Amino acid sequence: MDAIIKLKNLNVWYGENHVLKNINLEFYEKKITAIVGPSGCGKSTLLKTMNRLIELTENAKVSGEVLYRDINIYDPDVNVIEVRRRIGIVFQKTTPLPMSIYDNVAYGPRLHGISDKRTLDEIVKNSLIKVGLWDEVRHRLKDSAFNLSLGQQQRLAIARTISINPEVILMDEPTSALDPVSSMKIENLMKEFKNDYTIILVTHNLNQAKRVSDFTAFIYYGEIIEYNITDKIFREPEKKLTMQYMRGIVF
Amino acid sequence: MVENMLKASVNPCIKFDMKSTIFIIPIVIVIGVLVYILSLIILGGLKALNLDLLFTSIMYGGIFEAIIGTFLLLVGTSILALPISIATAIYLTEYAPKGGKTVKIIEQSIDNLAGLPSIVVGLFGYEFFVKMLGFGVSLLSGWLTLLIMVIPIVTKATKEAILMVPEEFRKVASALGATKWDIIRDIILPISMPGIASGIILGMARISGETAAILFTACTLTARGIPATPLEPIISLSYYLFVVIFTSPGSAYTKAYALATILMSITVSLYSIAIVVRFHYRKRKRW
Ligand SMILES: Nc1ncnc2c1ncn2[C@@H]1O[C@H](COP(=O)(O)OP(=O)(O)OP(=O)(O)O)[C@@H](O)[C@H]1O
Ligand SMILES: [Mg+2]
Repeated sequence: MDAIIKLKNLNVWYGENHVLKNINLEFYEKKITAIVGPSGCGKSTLLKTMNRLIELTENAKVSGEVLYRDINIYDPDVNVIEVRRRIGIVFQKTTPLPMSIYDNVAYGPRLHGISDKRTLDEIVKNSLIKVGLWDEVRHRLKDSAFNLSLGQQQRLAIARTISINPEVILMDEPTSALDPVSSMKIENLMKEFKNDYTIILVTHNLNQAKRVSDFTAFIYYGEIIEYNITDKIFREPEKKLTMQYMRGIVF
Repeated sequence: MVENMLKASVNPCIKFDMKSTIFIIPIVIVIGVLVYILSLIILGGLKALNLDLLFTSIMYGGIFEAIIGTFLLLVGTSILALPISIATAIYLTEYAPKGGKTVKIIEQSIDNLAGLPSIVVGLFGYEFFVKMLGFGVSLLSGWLTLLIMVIPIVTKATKEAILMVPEEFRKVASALGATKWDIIRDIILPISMPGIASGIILGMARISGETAAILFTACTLTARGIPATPLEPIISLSYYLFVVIFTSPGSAYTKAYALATILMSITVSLYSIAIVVRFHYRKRKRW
């Protein structure tokens, strides 16, 4: 099994606050890996280090390596824009850009130099089809994306992410703001996407992790406590802490 | 127990009534004075105002040059102020190190600039633009002098508009590969536009009646017709009003009222537009 992303001795500080401690972790290609752990333990931070979005946070400091196909994305000669094209992210808060539905999906490709109208039309259509939104919005592509329901907005965010052909999709609690039906739609999308993308999913919902993921990492206050095949870690965790968390004893 | 509850519920009511009366008296006085001034000027102005007056040259007893002069001042200053103010605001909010000394110094200077008495700005304009740079008493010197008063207003409005843009947009766009400049151009500026627009209109309102700043820098009494180049002097409504009152207090009073009415309607309309834009913007904003 090939690891597409490898974290080596990864440490992150916000100012003096050491939030990720010596993380070593491998993410396998075209698999879904869930990251679970209590609130504030560093899950979002971990995702943000994997496409250098952490660099938007002024007081954040990163040390160690994030290897993407064996290239350290923090190397000075690596193009951060290319990193973010290949490693996309979907956030918890469904945030449409203040533009039309069409432009939300076309924005990424445009940033990467595609300006031909027909190519863009094609990309927008295919991306919306893939997230099952095309039939719902095909007649109002020029509408503001804010007119969509939350669930639709989140699927739009996913369409926006895949519009630039990433290989990895990071998902930070993508369903925690959504109703159960919309959540299920997104979970089903993740399962469909497994053939094409590597998905790293942060979730608070242990059942969701169980349902969709192949591997699960349990992180606790900045440290990886246990990492294993999902079935295994849920059925017979090796560490006591993991078991306690899975049973809702520690938070 | 019950008594206490009653007291507690009654007391605030009494206080509230007292407060509201205390606040109503000055409001009534202010509105009364305003209505009195407005009606005095408008009644006087309506008697003198007619289309002939507006389109007749000053040489033949009209005020045409003054209208054109004010128009040129407002438009020119706005066009110059926009890029400078937007660039300053973008620098302050996006590029300058946060909480750094540079930002503090620039912001403090902008605040101080906004508080300068306009006669002082006029004096500076006269020394610097008219004499030192040799632009003479001209439309150009007037523009540059008024810029000093307008830039702080537009910069502040732009900065506020930019700061209201939710942080999430930045995250989402960066994640798609947008550079800082991409984000400014595609997201921050477009959604700040209404705020910037209300800023520039406020700036125009502020200088539409300005007299002291252009007294020595842009206007001469002998200016006639429409200036052929920005290096020629102009006459503005405010300046001409000043001249009319100053030189012939008795006879030309109807003309003074006409000038005052026009000036006032320009200023009031500009302020109203700014308020409407701002209100509309706040109401419509939903990201
Ligand atoms: N910009 C920041 N500056 C300082 N501290 C921060 C910053 N962002 C996060 N932190 C802190 O870093 C720690 C990890 O935060 P992070 O957002 O990664 O946690 P999380 O596991 O995603 O939590 P949640 O499940 O609540 O989303 C927290 O203690 C948080 O308070
Ligand atoms: Mg988080």
